[in-house]
Amino acid sequence: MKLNRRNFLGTGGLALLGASLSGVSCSEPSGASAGNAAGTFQPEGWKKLLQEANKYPKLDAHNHIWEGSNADQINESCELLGITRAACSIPGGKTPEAIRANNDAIIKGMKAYPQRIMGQCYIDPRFKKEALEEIDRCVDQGMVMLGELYDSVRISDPLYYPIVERCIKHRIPMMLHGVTTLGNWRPGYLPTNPPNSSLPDDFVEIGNRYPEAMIICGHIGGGGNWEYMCRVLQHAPSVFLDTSGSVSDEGMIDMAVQYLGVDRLLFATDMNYETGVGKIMWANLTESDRKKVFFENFNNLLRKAGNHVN
Amino acid sequence: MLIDISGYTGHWPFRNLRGNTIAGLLARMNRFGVDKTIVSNLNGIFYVDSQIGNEELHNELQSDAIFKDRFIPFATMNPVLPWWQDSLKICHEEYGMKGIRIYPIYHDYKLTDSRCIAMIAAARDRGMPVSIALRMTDLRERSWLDVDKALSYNDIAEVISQVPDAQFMVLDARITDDQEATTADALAVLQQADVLFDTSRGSGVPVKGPNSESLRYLVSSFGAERIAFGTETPFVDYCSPFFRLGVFEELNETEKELVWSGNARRMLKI
Repeated sequence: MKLNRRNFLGTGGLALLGASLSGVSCSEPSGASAGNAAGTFQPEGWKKLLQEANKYPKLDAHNHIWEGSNADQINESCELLGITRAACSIPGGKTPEAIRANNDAIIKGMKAYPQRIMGQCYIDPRFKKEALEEIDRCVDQGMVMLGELYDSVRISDPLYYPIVERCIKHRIPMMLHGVTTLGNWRPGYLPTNPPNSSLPDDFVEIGNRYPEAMIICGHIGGGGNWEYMCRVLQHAPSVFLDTSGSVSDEGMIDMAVQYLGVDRLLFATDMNYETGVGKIMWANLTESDRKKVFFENFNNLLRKAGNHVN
Repeated sequence: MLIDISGYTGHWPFRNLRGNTIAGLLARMNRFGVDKTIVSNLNGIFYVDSQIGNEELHNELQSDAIFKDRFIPFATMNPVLPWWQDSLKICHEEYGMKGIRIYPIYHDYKLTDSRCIAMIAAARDRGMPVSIALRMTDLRERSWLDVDKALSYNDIAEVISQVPDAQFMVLDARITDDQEATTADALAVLQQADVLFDTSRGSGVPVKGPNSESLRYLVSSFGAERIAFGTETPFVDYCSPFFRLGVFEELNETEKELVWSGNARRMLKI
């Protein structure tokens, strides 16, 4: 049998590596800049770090079934990066019927891969009656949260109040697309996201109005000023932040830990699998904290409605 | 052997970096098993006189014997400066720099500017590859002082068509969701050129995320012999670039060796 990464893990290779992995940390100690701190050369050291990453169970709080990202591909991509389960949505739909069809596609994915794909229910708060009915329907179908709610309405808008209240009733989290692109927060520059996109300030406002809600600001690495996200969201102690997005800048996760605290960070990919895992492995986290971010924090939110993973 | 074709030292004006010294890079390289990194000095992008950045890099590399043989310095060049020929000569002959990196958007000229074409031809005559990053950071997170444009594969093809016998490296190789499509003509030029695309934005899993490239696309479009490992360090986390290639299962071991280092060794003649 050709030995590749997947069957290496499956045949107990990980266990064999276990002893050599103990104490391995991906991140570098701060201040590692002197020549005499360069350490010894570790041939193929990156392989040990990939193995180390795979030992952590992971719950992905922000993923999608979308064009070029069907359930089969999600399942395989998760397998390659050791992601236990992924919460997926299809944001969009201009009518309640279109939205319902998208949610049905998620339900289909959940049924195809019940051990991998968790459902996120998408709604548009402008269709109040249909949105509330759709939340009830999706919860009945086994969806575990709302997401990725998008940019038709800011989350601080009163249109969202009944939506948040329904989530509180069902004891489920809700995740919404958060933006911090330059033109969206600084007047005078062209906004690159629609004007009703939610800024961290909007999350602070709704979080303070409904501190009992489980509100998640989407993707610190979604392409914006993540410093802005960290410094503003620190003022919303009940709001969580997911770590997804294609951006995996040096220091980004460490700043989020510094300002929000590790308990408010939820591992996620938003379809960026390698950077999703890599940025958490590279952050200056203890093993205990890394477990929280990868798995426990999100699982604790799911536990409120009994949707947690054992 | 493992060679990273996309490393930097120096400062970035819009956010602080970590590990952005030669010593810091070496510590990372040692932990991950990277034998050599192509490196240039970010300061040279922002100094009016890029050559001062090259002098800094040279001095840093000479400051400790442990740096010897672990770094492949590339000169930061600006063809708008009237003294670029002097700089190129010094960087190549005195500093032993093996290639050049150019930044047309930051230095405010077109890739097809006659001065740029002349400089690429001069680099070719010296056997120095020309390295071009499509962008330096994600434009969505840009500072109001930073540039608001990126290069595309079409731009690269346009300059290659004017100096077809030069050697090129394309860094941060990816197509963003809102970028112009690569034309058939550009694709044909790129497929015929001696060019390496880095893996720094390439997804190795079946799902290609937004603002990423697909390693499958790069390999199917250009072949494994035109792909080379790159990290973009110290801009992004140092784990993800290894994970991208590590989980990519569509290359055999011979092809993977080419991507990890073989293609870079061929172009650099090392």
